Amino acid sequence: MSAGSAGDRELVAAFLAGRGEAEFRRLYAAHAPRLYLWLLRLCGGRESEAEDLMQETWLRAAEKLPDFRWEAALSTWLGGIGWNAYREASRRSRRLAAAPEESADEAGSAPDAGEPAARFDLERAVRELPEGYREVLLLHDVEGYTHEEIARTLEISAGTSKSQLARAREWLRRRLGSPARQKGRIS
Amino acid sequence: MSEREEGWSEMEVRALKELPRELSPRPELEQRIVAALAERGLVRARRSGRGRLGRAAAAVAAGLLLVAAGIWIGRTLPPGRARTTAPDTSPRFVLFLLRGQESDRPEEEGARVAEYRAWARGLAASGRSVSGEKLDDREERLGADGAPVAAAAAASEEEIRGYFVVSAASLDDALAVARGCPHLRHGGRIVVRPIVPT
Repeated sequence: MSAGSAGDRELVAAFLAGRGEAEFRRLYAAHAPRLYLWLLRLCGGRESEAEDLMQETWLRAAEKLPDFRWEAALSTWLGGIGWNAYREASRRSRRLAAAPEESADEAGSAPDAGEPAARFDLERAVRELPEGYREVLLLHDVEGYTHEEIARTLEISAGTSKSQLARAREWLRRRLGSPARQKGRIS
Repeated sequence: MSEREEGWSEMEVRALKELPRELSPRPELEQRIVAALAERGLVRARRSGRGRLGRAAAAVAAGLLLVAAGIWIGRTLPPGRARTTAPDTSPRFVLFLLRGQESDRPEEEGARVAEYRAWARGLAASGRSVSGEKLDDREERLGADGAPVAAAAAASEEEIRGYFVVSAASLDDALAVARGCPHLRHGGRIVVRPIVPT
């Protein structure tokens, strides 16, 4: 989640100067599409949940923005706020209670490699990843974060990030079928 | 650890990286979020009426005609013009800038001046009336009989370093403005008080 820092600084400065609605809308327009897809994926594709998280993320961001130190890209910061909101909401609904190691069992019930290729949907498979795996895989393989960046964002160790990624990939591979069969499908 | 060591082929990694990065949410969501922010005083609702910005800017210019000695924002701003348009009738609030834990190093003053000025100008550009001055450290107190009263022996965290007068829709709105003031980032504190129209 990188972003043009100079442009972001101008957008943020203009907004914080008077907290004008027009200035906020410009800031929103610059970051909403990426933030929304990130939240939608976190939510496993549940749109109403993603929209609630989107609102919560912007509420928190608007409040904390004066304290933002630009030590990370604004999009990364927003993504982190979104992640925290998601995590808190998940804990409230007890959907994140199970440790990833436990939810790894879900991979065992995944369709086998013989599932028709027509049903293959990488996007959907990613959204179906067990929570705990999904965030790490999204950040690393989709957003391009390093393990150190993931560690800071998710407040886990870099080692945990690596192991979660390995498990996430294994789960995804089993979900989609064997690597040999899948190479032709995903390319 | 390389991608290959983690057991993911380059083709598979590329397939994931090529997933879309952006998806525009429904337009209704933006409106909903703006309304929620405005309700909490985190965004100032857009005002209607043509020419309001111009009137406010004129009011700001007049407000920024500040006295010469020691002022934060007025000293380095270009001279303003006398206000000739209708006065801004929005509620006004005083932001008292207290010393707090702020550092007070002379070598930083220039940067502070520029920072506070940019913030005030941003407020003005967004349509708010704003004025303000930095206060000298000297302080004399008078009792009800007009006789001198002992002042605080040393600078305290309650010492008023300066102030801004800004227009805002509500106290929450004024608090939102205050949260953006660079004074907080420098360790100072801000007291926000509504001005009673008289």
